[in-house]
This record gives sequence, structure tokens and C-alpha cells, in this order.
Amino acid sequence: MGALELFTRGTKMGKSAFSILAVAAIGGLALVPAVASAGTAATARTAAPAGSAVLARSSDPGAGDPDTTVTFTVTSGELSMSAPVSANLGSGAPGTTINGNLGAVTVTDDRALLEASWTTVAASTDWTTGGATPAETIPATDVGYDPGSITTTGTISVTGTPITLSGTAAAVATATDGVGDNTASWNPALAVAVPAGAVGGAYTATLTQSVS
Amino acid sequence: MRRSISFTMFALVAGILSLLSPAASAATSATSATSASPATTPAPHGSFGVRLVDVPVSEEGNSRALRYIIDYLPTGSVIHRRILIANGEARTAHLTVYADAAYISDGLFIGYAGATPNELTRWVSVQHRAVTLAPGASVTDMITIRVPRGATRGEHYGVIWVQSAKIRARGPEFGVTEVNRVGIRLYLAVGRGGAPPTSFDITSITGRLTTVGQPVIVAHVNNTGGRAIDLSGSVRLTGGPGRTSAGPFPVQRIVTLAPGQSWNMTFAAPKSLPEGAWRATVTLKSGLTTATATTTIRFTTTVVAQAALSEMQLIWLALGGLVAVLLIAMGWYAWQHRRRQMPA
Repeated sequence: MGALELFTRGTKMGKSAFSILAVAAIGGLALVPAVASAGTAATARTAAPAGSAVLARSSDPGAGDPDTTVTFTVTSGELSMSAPVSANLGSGAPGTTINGNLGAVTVTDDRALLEASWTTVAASTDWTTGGATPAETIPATDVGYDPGSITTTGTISVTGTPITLSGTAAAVATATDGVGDNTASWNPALAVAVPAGAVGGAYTATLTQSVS
Repeated sequence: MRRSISFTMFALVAGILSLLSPAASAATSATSATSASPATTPAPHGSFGVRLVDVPVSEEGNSRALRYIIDYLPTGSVIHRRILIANGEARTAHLTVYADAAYISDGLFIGYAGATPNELTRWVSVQHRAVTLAPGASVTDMITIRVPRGATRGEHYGVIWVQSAKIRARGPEFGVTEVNRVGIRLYLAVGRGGAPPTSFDITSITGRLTTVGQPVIVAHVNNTGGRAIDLSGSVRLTGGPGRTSAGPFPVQRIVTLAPGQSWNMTFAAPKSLPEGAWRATVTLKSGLTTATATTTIRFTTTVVAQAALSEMQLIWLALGGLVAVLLIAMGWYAWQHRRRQMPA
């Protein structure tokens, strides 16, 4: 009974209350899809409001003397690599895949730095034989380079990435978080997908591995 | 009384509508200086290597400056930097030394294949471009960079490569000639007056589970400065279930960003990490520039298409439905009341 009275009495000034509530309710309902898309599937509540979004800005220590003409001498080890100078991948028929290994590649970082890091990239020319006509060419993009498992010594973590070779260098191994002297070693596996139209012959290519 | 009730209802609805605005907390932390511990080691057996010898005194504490040639120069200036080339092989090494162009893309600093020229490589001269080293020997080479008048302002990228000479493979089958090279990166900025700032923003930190159930923390970073950065760092998790903490977990790979570029830095946590909400503190640094950000994350699987509604969305829908029903009921009663009040 009390509730009904509330409603009947309320209708006198019902218009203003009703309109306020109507707006609020419509606003609430309208916000449901907005909230649904904002608080999405990806789970996280980031602290930043949508759009402006900066959690933190970087800072530097006070600037030192900017004079760069005075140098001091660093004494430490080198960033070095060892790798074979050539490899023979074997043979195969057109339309098949030739698999072979390049030979062990070892990158040694003796620069004895904190947070040492390096990136190894690989690029290759096309495989050619004879006069390097289109039938005598196997494009580099038909060849895959897979570093496989990478063994390390010292403190360093290395991630290997299988790639498709091309004339543009692509990263095959990236190292991070190195402390002190460390090495990383892997034996890349090459997979050459010989085109069906390739003619027979001894194909050669030049593969460049670069570490910096 | 009536007024206060309707206002209460309005306040209720309005209050429900304005839920959830977690406060952001971010604090930048002080830097940590790094220094190279001096240790003279010859190149390991069966390899050849290179390192930087001269580093500006002003960059003494900057680990990036100890391994790359990083500088900010006005036009018309010249710098000299020595590098050391070492032969660790058991036979005489024939090496070539040259400058190559480089670019920064997809979080990587990449030198072009071969000896590709760009504006920077034309300013670089190498004293000994071909070097012959006995087993175990090393030699110093001088790199000179002359920035001409009219050089383009901004940062230029290149690499000084030390390359093992090619030996052609002979064979009746598939032969690969491997060219191997190690290099020292060049990050050379040109301008007059104060150096462009090095700065970056962490814009968000989220957590997700990979398809194999591994928790991954993702921090989105923008390079907002005028110099390239090589970012490394780690994440520490605190405030987990039962007030546990975990980490620090290092970044999965170091990321190089040119000015204006962005990237998602990822950190992998072990699969054994308990589920639930965590407070993630990400610290990133490049050289002497650091940023630290903290926020709350939760690990759940990323859903590509929104197939099901989350809890929150269901609550919203339920509230909206309730309010609608309430209004309809009020409106019906009001209409009934009016009907009864009308003179017959």
C-alpha cells in the first residue's frame, strides 16, 4: 500500500522526476554498449583513460659536460663471431626441398657490459648456376633459414627467429640481458625449395650474416 | 519527501553510471649508472671481432655509448674514433672494413646488405680498409666522421663493418659462400645548439595469456624524443593472490626505436604464475634515460571476437533493464491513476 501511495502522490510532480529518471535511464542504457566496447576482451584495466594515455614519461639524470671531443679509452673484449666460410647443402631434384646446415655460428660478446645486447641478421643473394638466366636462378625467397636451438654460455638470453631469406637483411637472432662475457651458438638449417622449372647444375649463393 | 525520493533515485542511477575510474600512478625513477669493467680478452679461437676504443668522456656512464658511436655534432665538425679489430682464428685473417647505411624498423637496427651508401656513409672514412692479421693479432683502425656544411639535420644511422673476405665455394652441388661480419653501429645526430632530447613514454601495461597458457606482460612505448633509443628493462609483479610477488622478468628482446616509432615490449612470466590481479611495475631504460610505470593487470586469455559478454557488461545490462522496468511500472501506475482521477 505504501508503495502505491508513493507512486500516486509522486505523479503530481511526476513530470520533473519522471523526466530526470528517464534521461538517467536512457543514458545508462546507452552507456552499456560504450562500456562494453571500452572494457573489452583484453582483460586489463590500464590506468590511463582512453585517448590521452601516458602512464609514465622517461627522465634523464642531469646533463653532463656535452663536450664530445675529449675521449677516454675503453679496455674490454670484442664483439666477435665465428662461422664457416662456405657450406655444401647437398643436392635435390626440381620440385623438392633440399635441407642442409650452414655450420655452427657462434657470437661472442666479450665487451663485459651490463645489459649487453646484439642482433644478428641474415641476407642472401639468389642461387644461380651457369649464366644466371631465370631458369638457372633460384630466388633467395625460396630458401628458409632456421637458427634452430641456440645454446648460450654466460649470462645472455637469445631469441632465434626462422626467416625466409631475401636480399634485405632480416633478424635471425637477437640477444638481450647480457651481463659480462657470454656466447651464443647455433647451426642454421637452410631449406631450399627448388622450383619445378629449375635446370640442373651447381648453384651457389652468397649468404651474409651480420652481428652488431 | 517526494522530492528527496526522486532525487535519491536520480542520484542512485547517476552514481551507478559513474563507476570505475582507477587512479593512475606513475613515477619516474632515478637512473642507474653502468660502467664497463675493463677486461682485455683476445677474440675467441676461430673468430674475428671488433670493439670501440674511443668513447667521449661525457658518455662515460652510458652503456650504449660504450658499444656504439653515438654523437650529436654541428655541421662542419670532425670526430675521430678508434676501433680495435682482433683475429682469434688459427690462420691469417683477411678482413675488410667499411661503412654501410642502416635503418631502424620493427624494433630492430639493421644494416643493409653489402656496402650501401647513404648521407652518413659519405662522411665516414676508414683509415685501413683492408686488414691482414696473423693468428691472435689485433690492430687499431681510425674512423673519421666529417660532417659537411649543408648536412641534413637529424639523426643518421649506419654501421662500420669488419668483414671476413669471401672465399668462393667450389662443389658440384648447392654451395653457399658465407660472408660474416661484425659491426659497430653509428647513431649520428646533426644540429646546432642543444641536443635533441632523449625521451619515451610508457602508455599502457596489459597482461594476457598466450594460447599455451603463458602469462605475458605487454608495455606499449612511444619514442617521443629526437634520438633513437635501445630499450631494455624488466617488470616486477606485486600484490598477487596471498600478497605474493614475482619477478623481475626481463624484456624478451631489446627494441630499437627511431624518433616517432612505437612498440609493444613484452615480458614473459612463468606458466606457474597464479591467476588473478597483479600490480605490474615496468622499468625501461635506454642508456641513461629511464621510465617506470605501475598499473594493475589481470591475466586472462585475449578474445579476438567478443563472443560472450563479460561480468561487468552483464551487470550494466541488468541495471539498465531494471531501470527501464521501473520506469514502465511508474508510467503505468501514473496512467492508471490519471484514468481513475478523470471525471467519469
